[in-house]
Amino acid sequence: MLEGLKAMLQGLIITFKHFLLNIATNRFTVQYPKKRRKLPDRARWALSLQWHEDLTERCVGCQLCAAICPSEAIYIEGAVNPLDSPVGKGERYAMTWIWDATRCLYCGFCVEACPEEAIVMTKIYEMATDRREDLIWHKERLYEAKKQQFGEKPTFAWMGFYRKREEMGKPIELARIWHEQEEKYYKNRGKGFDMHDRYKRFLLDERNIEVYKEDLGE
Amino acid sequence: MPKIELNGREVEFREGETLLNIAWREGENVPVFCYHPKLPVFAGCRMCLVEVEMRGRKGLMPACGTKAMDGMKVWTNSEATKFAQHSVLELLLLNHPLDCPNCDAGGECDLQEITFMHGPTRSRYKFPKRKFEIRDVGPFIDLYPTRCIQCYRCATFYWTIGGGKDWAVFDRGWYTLFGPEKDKFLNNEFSGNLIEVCPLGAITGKDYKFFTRPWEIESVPTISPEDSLGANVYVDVRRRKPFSRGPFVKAGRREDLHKIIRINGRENPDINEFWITDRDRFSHEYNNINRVDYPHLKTEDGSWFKSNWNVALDWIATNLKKAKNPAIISGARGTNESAYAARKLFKETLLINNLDFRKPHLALKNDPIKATLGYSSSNGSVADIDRAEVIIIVGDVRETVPGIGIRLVRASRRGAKLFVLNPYKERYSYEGWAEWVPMRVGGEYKDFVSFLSDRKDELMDKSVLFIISDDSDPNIQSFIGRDVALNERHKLLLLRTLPNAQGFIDVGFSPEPDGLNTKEILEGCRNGSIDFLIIWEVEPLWEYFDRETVEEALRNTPFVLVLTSFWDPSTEYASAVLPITTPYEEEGTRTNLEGYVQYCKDALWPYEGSRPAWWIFKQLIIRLGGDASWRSAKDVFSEIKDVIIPYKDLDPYDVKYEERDFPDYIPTIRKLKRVFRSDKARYEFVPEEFEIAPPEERHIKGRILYWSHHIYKGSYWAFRNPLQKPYIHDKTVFVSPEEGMKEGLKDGDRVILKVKNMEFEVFIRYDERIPAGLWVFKGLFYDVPLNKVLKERYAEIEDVIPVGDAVKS
Ligand code: SF4
Ligand code: SF4
Ligand code: SF4
Ligand code: FES
Repeated sequence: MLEGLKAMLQGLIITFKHFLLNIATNRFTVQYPKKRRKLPDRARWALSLQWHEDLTERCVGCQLCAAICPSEAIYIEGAVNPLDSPVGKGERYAMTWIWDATRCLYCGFCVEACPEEAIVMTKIYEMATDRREDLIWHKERLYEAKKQQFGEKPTFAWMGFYRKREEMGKPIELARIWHEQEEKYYKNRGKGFDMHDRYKRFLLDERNIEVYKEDLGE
Repeated sequence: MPKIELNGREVEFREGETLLNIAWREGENVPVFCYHPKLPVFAGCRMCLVEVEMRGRKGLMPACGTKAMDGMKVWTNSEATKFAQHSVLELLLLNHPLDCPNCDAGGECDLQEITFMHGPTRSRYKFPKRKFEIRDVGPFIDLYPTRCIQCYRCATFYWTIGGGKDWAVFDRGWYTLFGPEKDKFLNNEFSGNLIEVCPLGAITGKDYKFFTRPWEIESVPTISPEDSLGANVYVDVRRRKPFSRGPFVKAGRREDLHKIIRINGRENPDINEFWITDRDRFSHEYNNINRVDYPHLKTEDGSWFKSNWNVALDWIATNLKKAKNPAIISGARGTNESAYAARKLFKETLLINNLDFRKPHLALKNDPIKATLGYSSSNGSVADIDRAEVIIIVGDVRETVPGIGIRLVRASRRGAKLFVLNPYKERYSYEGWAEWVPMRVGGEYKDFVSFLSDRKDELMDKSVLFIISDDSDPNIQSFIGRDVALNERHKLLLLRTLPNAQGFIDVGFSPEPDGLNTKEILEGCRNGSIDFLIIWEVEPLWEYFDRETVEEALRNTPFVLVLTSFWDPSTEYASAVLPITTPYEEEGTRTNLEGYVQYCKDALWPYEGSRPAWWIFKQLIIRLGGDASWRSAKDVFSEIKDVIIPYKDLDPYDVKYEERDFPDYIPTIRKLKRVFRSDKARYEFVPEEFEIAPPEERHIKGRILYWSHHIYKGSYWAFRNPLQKPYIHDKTVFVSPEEGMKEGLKDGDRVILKVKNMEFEVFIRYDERIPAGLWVFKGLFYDVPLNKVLKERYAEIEDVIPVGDAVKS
């Protein structure tokens, strides 16, 4: 009885605290759409496709993203990359690359599967529309999203980790570094898993933050 | 029964079984590369090494090439075996480029699967890998020799099964390179099978190239419509599984991708035993080329009016009702169901027997085989090729029914005697598989009879198989028919030059007993006695000889209804054009040349508004007051079963197959897990007495223009396919080099042929297989209207006038 009351009071205190804080600083309720909250860098929203420095497509049309996608939101038709005006760097390229936002569950598997790091998730989440077709993004729209989010310069990113140019195409290597660091860290701390912590730590790693700044122009 | 000990347990086996057979049967995991169930054992890759103990001695043996012996002990999962597998894989992967994201085999690659199961995760090899250029070996196949692991499956297939001689192995060790000589195109109609045989992506197909991935594909088991062999195939499409990814929705509805991605072989030991020809495999582009989309009616001012089915059918039915003497000609390309529906429309609703599918020059009142053998069909089967001691071929097998070539090569290797009677040397005689017996154009019968009497000793008391094409000299046909009827050890295999001719005969799409045949129908159209002509899946202007008669006939017929999939020239003469489905869009059954009735499943949705032909005939029957209540092709077939006696016990819609003990984890072998079988129609052969009047010999002197089939150009569908263009020489007449040189012509020269006062511009191409005096034109007449002067298979050339320089066609 007494314990229940105590717990209730605790809860009320938090509510009241937030109420007061909110009046004072406006920290919890955001007046959307007048104001927009700043999303964390690993926010997983609409996909975007990336290009190389010479504006050729980074996607080689291997369809691994379509294969891994649990909700079958990606549809690709490959074709032979024309040698006289190459679309991409591989022998094949994606003639059709369609992403269906209505099916996507923003899991990021496709980003992870891509051997060319051609897919990066953006922070574009305002996709509401009254036409179903608008939610089916073809190649043009996906590249537009890239421009909107990251600008013209090629982006090097893998699961939201901005990386050095030399590390492109080496997800396994990166994962290895990551896991090694992680193991060391948790061994030392002797504590449980904390995603946020891990992310912060990764960004604070010198070598990563450099590229991060460079690419974002911060 | 002898026993071996497999992983510690006793297993019985039959004499002659290899360790691999036993292990797979027992469900043990043994990876293979060079072993292929349909190829001779090569045992060169060493992937299948297993640890074996025999008489106290232990060692590693290749399971695929080691016969089991009583008392053997075998381990497929011991440390030594695992180490061997691991090491062999590491070695095989040394030079493999690992370009899986780019490679077409990715996802159905033996190397990928086996590496994941048994292989090393990391390479210790730190040196540059060997590299080769990508090789272009023809319009069908791409060669990526860098990926090759030297398993020799391709060479084994090409030499022993396909009988080809232009696939070589160059160099040795790491630098082993497979393929034809430099800058040469493959010249074997079975070359496409290399794609399926290669365990990885070193050989890939150009039609499939990079379009999609194996896991996106649905394989539809069906029948190749290209020739009368009825090869069993898997048609791979990407579509319409209700929840699968696919072309995305458009306005709320899922769009279908109207495209066949590739075609692969399907095993049916009685018919094509897994191997299919390049014509079956690579001609499928036509499904999207030049198609008729909706019913078109000709308005009074001569323009086309795009109509809907109801209006079109009503209008056609009204005209058909008014017609006094309607007729139908066909190319025997539809299904049995459609043929039966057409027969019902004519024989039972209109009560007119004017229906025929044969070409006019072959449309005889008396079918020679029927008259002599009692039923117009082969009484032998394709499998008889494997048993016969002597095989006598009349005609060009490679250009008409190429699929049986696999068995011809095998028969020749087995030591059977093969003779080919043909005016020119065709593939099998040219490559030395058979002996060529020249036949003079115009004197075929005499040459045939004198051949038989000359070689009497060789044929005596032997089992003889006659393989004749159904457009060979009718006198030869009746001679063979009678011979086969009288002699038990002689069998006949009648090669149908039209794909479903046997089915059309069986279901009664023929003018018997009192109707008009094609020749008479065309004659009737010309003189106005036929006032309604249906042209169904045949292009008379391209296929029939004597084009002027055909043109006049079409012009003089008041109402021409064309049932076709394509905007071909005869639609110009049509009053109405109804779009029908192509074979891969239509469900039904087809009968092959020996009487196997096989189910073909529809792989694609019908193109736009096209419908199967039986549906159109059904609508016409209903509109004319007949009775047809079929709702599907299956309903039609159940009616066929009641009416057509040979088909009484058949159930082709229930496709039968057995499963083999092959493992699931090797993609190229997984394909062979299912063995399909078809049922044969039962024909009654009741021979009749039939007198043959020996024909008068008409031997032409001088230069003869001779028409012959062509594997691609002669096919109603295949020639439309852009992929095969390099093998189709348009506007070309083939001559022997001596003849060409005598005329002062070079290979590729442009000339004007003067025949019967008409001039035709053609290109000359040397072909050393053709004897002097013969000028061979092949395939359909869509490029040069030589059928204006060809009233039958040959005509005399009056003059050859060279024009211009060598311009390659
Ligand atoms: S984020 Fe997940 S659901 Fe969305 S497209 Fe990628 S893999 Fe598919
Ligand atoms: S996984 Fe990457 S490279 Fe492959 S198709 Fe998808 S986006 Fe393109
Ligand atoms: S090309 Fe393919 S089938 Fe031929 S040896 Fe190489 S891997 Fe084997
Ligand atoms: S040696 Fe047995 S599969 Fe190659």
